Amino acid sequence: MSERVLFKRPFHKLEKRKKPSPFDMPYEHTAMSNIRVTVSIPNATAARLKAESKNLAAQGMQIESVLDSIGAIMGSVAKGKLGKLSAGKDASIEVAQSCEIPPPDSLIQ
Amino acid sequence: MAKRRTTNQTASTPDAHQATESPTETPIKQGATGRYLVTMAPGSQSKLLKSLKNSAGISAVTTADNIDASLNAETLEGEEAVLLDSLGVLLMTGDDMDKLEALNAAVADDTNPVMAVEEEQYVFAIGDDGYLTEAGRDYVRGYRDGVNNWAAKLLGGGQDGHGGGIEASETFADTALLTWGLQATRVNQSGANGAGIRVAVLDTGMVVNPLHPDFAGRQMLSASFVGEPVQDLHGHGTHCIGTALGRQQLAGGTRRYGVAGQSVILAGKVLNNAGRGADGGILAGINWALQNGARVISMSLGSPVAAGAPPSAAYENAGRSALNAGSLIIAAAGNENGAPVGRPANSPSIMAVAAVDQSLRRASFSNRGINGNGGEVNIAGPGVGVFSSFRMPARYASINGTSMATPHVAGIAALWSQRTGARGMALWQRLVTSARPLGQPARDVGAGLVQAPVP
Repeated sequence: MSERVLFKRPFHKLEKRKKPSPFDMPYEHTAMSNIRVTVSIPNATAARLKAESKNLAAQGMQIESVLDSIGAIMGSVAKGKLGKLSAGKDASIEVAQSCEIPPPDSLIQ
Repeated sequence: MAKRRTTNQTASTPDAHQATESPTETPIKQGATGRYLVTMAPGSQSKLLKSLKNSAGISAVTTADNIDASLNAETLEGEEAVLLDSLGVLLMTGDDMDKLEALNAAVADDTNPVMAVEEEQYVFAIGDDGYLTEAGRDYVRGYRDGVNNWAAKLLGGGQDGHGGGIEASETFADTALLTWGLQATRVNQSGANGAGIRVAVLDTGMVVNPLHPDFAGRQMLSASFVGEPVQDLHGHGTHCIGTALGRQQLAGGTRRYGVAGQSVILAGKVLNNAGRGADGGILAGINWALQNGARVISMSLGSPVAAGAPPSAAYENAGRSALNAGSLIIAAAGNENGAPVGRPANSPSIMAVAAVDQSLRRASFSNRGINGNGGEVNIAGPGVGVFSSFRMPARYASINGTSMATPHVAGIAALWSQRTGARGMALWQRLVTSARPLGQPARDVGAGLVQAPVP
């Protein structure tokens, strides 16, 4: 296995750092080092989603949005609390993920 | 909501099959069986039974749970009505015209779960009498191609002295008037244009400021879920919208590249101009599309998954919610050169689209149905050398990918929905049952190449 070459370019030629974007860090981490999570509840009514949001907030989850039409609650939670986070019957808790398509000049998109 | 009704006409039967040759031969049963298939929106068994009773007075319903596990034609014989609730299908006798009329009326009621009423047809193994429908001919051609392909591999392609038996593949090319993809999917032969159907494309947005010239005057809604304006500085979203929803006639002699030219465009920006996005924005985009009445949701995006990886509960829940709401999510299988179908196309309730080239062969980059439980390829679309609208000032681009195959399927779904009123799972069934078999493994191309409804 070949040795990794660090700092291939000299320091003074490195580009000036751009303004930070939410995508500069792994998407699943927020600026507060929280973990982004999606809680999904099949066939959930608006009332059930509201109650679950309240329940999740009480457990330390910061609720960002509630998607009524697809039964999902989006938000983030401190890493230490992720394993203890619980929602009601049939609910699933997943760490949110990101995706990326190739750049515009790529032949395969 | 347009749903599908039926008349009580008996399907015509070819004369050659009406009479039997001798009293000792069993007559070939063809055409309608005399029973009816009632397709219902998803719901609990009790809810479906209640609506059948209230809307059509059908109360003597046997549920599949009560029938012996070996459900077959004999067990169904003699039952007045059998509800297969896991499929959302009621099989009933056609004896009571009042009940059929009531069911037809229920189809027109948007609040009633009864979606369609159709005559059950005899399905039979193809005999040696030469009687085949066009769909049957396509099936046989696909079977022949598959066997030939397999034989060629075993025999080394013509080295057995019989020429290998492989017929030259049909190859398409863009013409001055049409892209090859529209020809291969028969969009140019379809009278449907998607009018009245809302189609959402969740991607990098759309060239809206100023509007891409090819979309002047089009009805469009847009929203961004990535903290940037809808304006597409990448080009991917504009390309996908062009394929699914570009108009039929373009100024300046540009060849037609769009499928559903009269559909309403819902452009949701869920990937930023660098092409990056995340679950939060994508799920919010699906939510927005459903709230705005999208009948079809096209998503040319995804991330790779490992062999054996389960689907995401959040996307599966979103896909099921969409089907329950009469919408269909269609997503790209991914371009990892034969890797498993990516996320979220690997959800059982989301239709996964592979790409084929101009010779209708699986594109080398197109992912495969390696994982079960939703990780199958469901259908294929044109995905190589696809010409469509692009970011300005380029205006047009020809690119490759399952991202390009997906909007072909989405646009054609809009045509089918316009033509038949099918939506949700019924629309899914329309697409896969009408697909052109390609004689290649289902794990590569699913049911085959998507086909537009032709008169």
